[in-house]
Amino acid sequence: MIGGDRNSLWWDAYRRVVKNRLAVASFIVIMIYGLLALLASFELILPQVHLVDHARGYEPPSWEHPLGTDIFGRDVLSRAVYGIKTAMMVGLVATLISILFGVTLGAVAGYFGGKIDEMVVWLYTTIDSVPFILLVPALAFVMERGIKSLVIAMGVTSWVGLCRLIRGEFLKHRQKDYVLAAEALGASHLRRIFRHILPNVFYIILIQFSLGFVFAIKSEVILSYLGLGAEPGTPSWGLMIDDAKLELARGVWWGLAAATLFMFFLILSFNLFNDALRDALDPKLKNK
Amino acid sequence: MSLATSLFNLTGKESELSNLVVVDHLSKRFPIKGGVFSREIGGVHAVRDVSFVIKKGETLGLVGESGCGKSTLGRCMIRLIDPTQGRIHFDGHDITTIRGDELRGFRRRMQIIFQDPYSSLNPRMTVGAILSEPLEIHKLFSTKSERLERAGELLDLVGLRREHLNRYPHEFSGGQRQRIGVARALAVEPQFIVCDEPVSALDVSVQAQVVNLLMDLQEKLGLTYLFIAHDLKVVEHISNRVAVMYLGQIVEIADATDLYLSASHPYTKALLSAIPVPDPHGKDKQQRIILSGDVPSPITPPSGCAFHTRCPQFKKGICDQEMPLLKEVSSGHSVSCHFAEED
Amino acid sequence: MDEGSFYAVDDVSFTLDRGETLGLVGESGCGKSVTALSIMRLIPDPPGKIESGSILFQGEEILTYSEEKMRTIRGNEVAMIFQEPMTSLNPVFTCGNQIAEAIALHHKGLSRTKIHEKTVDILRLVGIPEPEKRVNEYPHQLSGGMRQRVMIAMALSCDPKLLIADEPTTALDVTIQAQILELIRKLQKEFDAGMILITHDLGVVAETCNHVAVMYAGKIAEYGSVDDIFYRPQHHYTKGLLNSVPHFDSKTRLKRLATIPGVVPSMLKLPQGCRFQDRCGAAKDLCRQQEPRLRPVETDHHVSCHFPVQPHGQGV
Repeated sequence: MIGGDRNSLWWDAYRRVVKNRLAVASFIVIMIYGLLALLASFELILPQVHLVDHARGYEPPSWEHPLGTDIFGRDVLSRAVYGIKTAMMVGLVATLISILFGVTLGAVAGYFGGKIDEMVVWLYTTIDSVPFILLVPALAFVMERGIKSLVIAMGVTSWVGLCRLIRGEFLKHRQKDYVLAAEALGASHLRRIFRHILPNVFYIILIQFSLGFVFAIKSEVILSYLGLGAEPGTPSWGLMIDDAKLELARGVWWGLAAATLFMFFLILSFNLFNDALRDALDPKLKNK
Repeated sequence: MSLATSLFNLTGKESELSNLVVVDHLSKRFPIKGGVFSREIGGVHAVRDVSFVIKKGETLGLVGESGCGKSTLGRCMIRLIDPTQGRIHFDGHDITTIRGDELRGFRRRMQIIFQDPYSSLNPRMTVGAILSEPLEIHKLFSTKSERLERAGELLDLVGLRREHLNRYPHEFSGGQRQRIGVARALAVEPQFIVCDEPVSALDVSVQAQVVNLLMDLQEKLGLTYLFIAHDLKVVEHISNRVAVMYLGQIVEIADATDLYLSASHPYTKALLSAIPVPDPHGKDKQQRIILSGDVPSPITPPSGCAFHTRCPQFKKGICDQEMPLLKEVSSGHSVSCHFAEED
Repeated sequence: MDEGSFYAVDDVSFTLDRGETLGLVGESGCGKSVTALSIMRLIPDPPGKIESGSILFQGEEILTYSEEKMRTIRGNEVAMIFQEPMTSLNPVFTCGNQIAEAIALHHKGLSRTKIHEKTVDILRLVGIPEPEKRVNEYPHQLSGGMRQRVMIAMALSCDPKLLIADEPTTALDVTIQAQILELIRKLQKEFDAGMILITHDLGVVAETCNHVAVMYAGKIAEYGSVDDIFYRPQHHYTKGLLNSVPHFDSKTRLKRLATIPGVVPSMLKLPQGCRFQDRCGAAKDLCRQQEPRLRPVETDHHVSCHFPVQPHGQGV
C-alpha cells in the first residue's frame, strides 16, 4: 500500500516532502540521531561512557573529553550520545503504546458508535480530566521509579488526543459513499475498517506519531529533571540538566550545554519535519 | 391485507414471478437525540408508509426534492439502512431482517450507484483493487490474476480501457469515475441496481453519456433499476414508470408518459411546470404554477395531506385533517389526493 | 507564462445593456465564473492575473481603477449573487444586520430606525414572509431558498446597475428554483439593472436571458440572442449540448441520447487549432491547424467555428 504505485496519494506525498529541502535535511538529522541511538543500544560506540574516574571530575572540554567530564569524571559527550538512546527509546515506545490505544479505541468508537462510543468517550474524558503532569508521576510511583514505568505511564495517558482525532475521522468516513458501497458489496466490518477507512486516516497517525515522539522526549527530560523519570545513573538529558543546577554555581557549564544542544537539534529537526509531513499529507492542503 | 399481497392476488402467479422487488408499508424514522442524557427528543420521518413494486427488467424512476426521503427509501430497499416498519421482498424472499451470510448472498443480487463520483471511490485504492474487491468478498475467482482479468472486462463493459486498472480515482474525470462506480456495482452480476442520483453531479454532455451507458447495460444484462433523481427530465427519459415523493410519501405513481401527459397530483403538476425547458418560446409562462413557501420539516410533518401547506387546491377541513390514500385513478396510475378524480 | 499556468479565460468579449440579461453557459471549468469574477476584479492576485483586455463599465475603463475606487463599485454599482448562500452569508450576524450594513454603507447618514425600516422593506420586496421577524434570524435558521432571497436582498440594497448571478439556483430544488428565478426576473425589471447570469442549465438560460454566450474551454464558442442559440445554433458544441438534454417527448423516451464524445481538454494541454476539435464531428484539417476566431454570421450572432452548422439545418 505505502510506497506502491507511482500515482498513489502516498507517492504524491513523498514527492512533496522530498521537494522540501529543509524537510530532507531534518530527516537526515533524525536518521543520524537514530543511528547513534541504535549503536549506543548495542554499546558499539564510545565505550568510555560508564568509565568512572573520581580524580578527573569536572574537567573542562579538552581533546580527550571534547565536552569535558561530569562529577564522577565520566565523558560528557558520550553521556549525551547515550542520552539519545534513552530519549529515542522513551519516544518510540511511549508513542507506539499511545497509538495502539488511541487508534484502536478511536476506530472502534467512531465506526460502531452507540454504546461502545459512549464508553470510549467516557473513558477518555475521565483520563483527560486528570492533569497529565500529575498522572504520570503517580503511575510511576505506583510501579517503581525508572524508564520503564515512565514509558508505560506516558503511553497509557497520551492516547487521548489521537483517539479523539481518529474517532472523529472514523465518524466522518463511515458515512462516506465509498464505505457504504463496500457495505453494499457485502464487505465485513473488519474489511471496512482496515481496507477502506484506515488507509484514509493513516496520515493522521503518521503526523501524530511524529508529534507524540517529540512530546515524549520532552516529557522524559522534564520528568527526569524533576526527579520523577530515569533513575540516577541512566544516561539521560533530563538528569544531566538536573545535575547542572549545582554545577553552574561552580562554573561548570558543559554538562548543561551538551544536554541542551543535543535535545535542541533533535526537537528542531522533528518539528521542521512535522510541518513538512503535515503539508504533504493533509488532503485539505493539497494543490498548494 | 397489505398492498403487496393484494397485488400478488390481483394479478395472480404470473405477476408474482415478474415482481423483483416488493416494498410493503415501509417506514423509516431517524431518532433525534438531545439533552443532557442524550434521550430521544424527536424523529425525522424520512419514509412514511410507502408501498410499491418493481417488475423484473423495468426502470422505476423516483423523483422528489431534497429531503423527501427518496435516497433513504432506496437504501432501505437494499438493506443499507434498516427500516423502522414494513417489509421488503426481493424475488419472493423477505429480506427485511436477514443477516450474516444470508444477507451477503443477497448483496450479490442488488447493488447501488452513488451520486458523488468523488466520495464514492476509495482514493487510496487503484481501480483494479476497487473492482476486484467485490470478487474477493464473494470468492468469485480464486487467483488475483483471474480477478484482475475480470476487472479488465468490467472496464471494457463501461467504456474504459484496461490500462486504467493501475490508476487511482483522482486521475479520472467525474464522468469516468461514475463509470468506475457502475463497473464496481456490476462486478457481482446483480439483478437490481439502485441508481441514487447517478448523473446529478455531472455536466450536461457527460450526463447523457452515463444515461446511455445505463440504458445499454440494462438491455445487455437484463438489469432492473430504481432510478432516483430530482431531475424529472432525466427520470422521464430513462424510466418505464415514475413515482413522485413528497415528505416521505409517494404522492403519485404512473407510467412515465402518463405522468407527464396527465399528471394528477397538484405537486406533480407544479414539479413538471417548474422545470426550466431549453426552449425560449416553448412554455407559456402564464401557465406556470409557482408554489409558495418551503417544504415543511420532516420532523413535524403537517397533519392530513402533507402537501396541504403549499397546495393551490387546498380545501380547509378536508386536506388539513384527513390523510389521502394512494388510489388508482386509471390503470397503473395511482394518486394520493382527495381531489384527484376531479381532473 | 511559466509552466503550470494557463489562460482560464481567453479573449472573451461581450456587451450588456441596462435591463438586459446575458447568460453565460458552459460546463464546469469552462471559465464562466472566472469571467464574472474578473468583471468585479475579484480574481485573487497572485495566483490569478488579468493579463490583457479591457472592461468598460458605463463607458469607463475599470481595469485601471485603484483598489479603493474598485471597492466603491463593488456592492454599489455592481452586486453579486453566489451559488451557495450559506457560505456567502456571515453565520454570526443576523440577516437583518448584514443587509443593514450594506444599506448603511450606501446611504451614509441615515438614522438607525430608517435603516431598520429599509431593511424590513427590502426583505418584504424579495418575498420573505414576516420580514419583521426574519430580520432578527441567523442564516442557519433559514431554508436554502430563503437564504438565497436574503442574498438577493443584500445585492439589491444599494440599487446596483449590474447584477452578476453565479449559478444562483443550482443548489436549490426545482420548485424553489422557479420561485427564485421568478423573483430575479421581477426585480430586474423593477430596478432596470443589467444582469449576467452564469449557469450550466440551458433551461434556466432559455427562460431568463435575452442574450447567451456559450463558453467552451475558456473561450466563447457562440454568442447570440436566445432565439439564435436555441433555434439556430451554429457551433457544433452548442448543438451537441442542446441535443444531449433529455426532452419530454414520448418518441425519444428510452432511446439513447445524443452525446458529445470525449471530455473537455485540460487547460494546461490545449490542442493546437480549435479547442473543440477532438469532440467535434465536423472537424477538418483546418480545425487542427488554425484556431477559429469569434466572427459574426448574422447581425448579433457570432460563432467561433470554421465550419458552422448550416442555419437551415435542423434546430432543436
